[in-house]
Amino acid sequence: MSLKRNEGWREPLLAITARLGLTFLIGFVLLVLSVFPIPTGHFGDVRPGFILMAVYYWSIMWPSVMTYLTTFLIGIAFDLLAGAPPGMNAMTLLMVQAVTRSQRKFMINQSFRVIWAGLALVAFLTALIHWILFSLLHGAVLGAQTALVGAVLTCLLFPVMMPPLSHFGRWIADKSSRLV
Amino acid sequence: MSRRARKPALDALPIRSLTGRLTPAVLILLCVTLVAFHKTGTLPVERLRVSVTDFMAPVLAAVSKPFAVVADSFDGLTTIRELKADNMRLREENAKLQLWYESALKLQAENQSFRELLNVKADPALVFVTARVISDPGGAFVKSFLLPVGKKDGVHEGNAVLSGHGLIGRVVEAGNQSARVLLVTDLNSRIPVMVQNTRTRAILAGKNGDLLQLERLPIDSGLTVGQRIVTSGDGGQLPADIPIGTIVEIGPKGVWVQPLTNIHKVTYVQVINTSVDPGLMTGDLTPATPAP
Repeated sequence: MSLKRNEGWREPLLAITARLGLTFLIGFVLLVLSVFPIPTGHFGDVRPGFILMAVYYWSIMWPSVMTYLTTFLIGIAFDLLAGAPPGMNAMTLLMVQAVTRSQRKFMINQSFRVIWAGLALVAFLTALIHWILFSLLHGAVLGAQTALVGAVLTCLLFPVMMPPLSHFGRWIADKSSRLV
Repeated sequence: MSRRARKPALDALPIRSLTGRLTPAVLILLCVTLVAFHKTGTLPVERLRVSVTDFMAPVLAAVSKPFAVVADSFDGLTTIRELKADNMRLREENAKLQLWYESALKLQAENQSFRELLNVKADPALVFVTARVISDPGGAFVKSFLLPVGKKDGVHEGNAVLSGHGLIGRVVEAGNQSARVLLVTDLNSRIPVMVQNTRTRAILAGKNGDLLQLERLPIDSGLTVGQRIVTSGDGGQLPADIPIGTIVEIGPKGVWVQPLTNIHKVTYVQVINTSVDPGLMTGDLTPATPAP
């Protein structure tokens, strides 16, 4: 009897731990990829938003894979590593997650092109928010060129990143649901 | 069966739906608060940042190696015509440098004899630590490098960071095995400098672009395009006379300086790990013991 009672809480706990662990592992890999810039000559070194892609895509396909708290922690880790004010990237990632989740019912049945267009919108809005916030923090109108090129690169790389994101998203969702 | 029946009941609870809606709002509010506290300087995150960087440094160093190999391979691809042109240019440069070398030897000997006559306390020799740039994690609005050297290698906050051509930044955070370098192009970078030939003092400010701006120049400073800008050593943070760049534009929008180094292409840097002589920093002018 007592064994049954233990199984009652142990399995969901294992599932949550597995999901969090795997999400953090993939988040860590994306974090490492995000700190290596791609040289674009005239536009300087640009970093595509790999974490942004994961947050956006998983919020549509498997919202349970990435909780708000996970996004917050990965965002804070990214801010600390990037030398940005802590909370800056975490905030925009959370905004993306909240907005995308609210549109999930519409987005989930859409074609790849619509999902891609949605990502383009999200990437440019994120670049715009970053530009506004950094300009406010420094009290000067900063150049937005590098941020915009970063958004373009995020859009261009999304078709390449979608298959692995899809694979890992499904994998994490399966692993954690199998334990329940 | 019982578990299935319980789940919708839990979902139906208004508190769950409320928590789901409130969580992002609370976390976003927390992020805004963190950014605001950071701006006002009341959030001591440096220790946490250094810990995260220290933890990530070995991973980034390992991952950056293949990237560096690919980048080096592309840099090495040059045509025969380019090689010939480079060869010609280098021969001419070498001839000029030979003449400079002779003059330098003469001046060095002369300088040494004057120093001995005047009993001048000379600047200490600079000691370098050479390191490979392991990543450039900043982003569109933060210009910084990470290096796999830290306090265990004698690297500390404030140390100057040089490429082969001149100053490119200074260490702003140093962990045990990693250091973050704030580049001269970053918006927060302010370096006390002087014009090499006129000794006119100014502040060199990063503007988040390829060019740097000279600020706080005295009136009638008589600047011309092509003059070299070097560190002034004021404040004792950086050694004096390290070249940074040359003036490329003087106009209504200010005086603009082009760094001597193409910062995007830097793979190895030198960190000056000896601080400026403390005696010089505090203004201690006690004469040194005369040589026997």
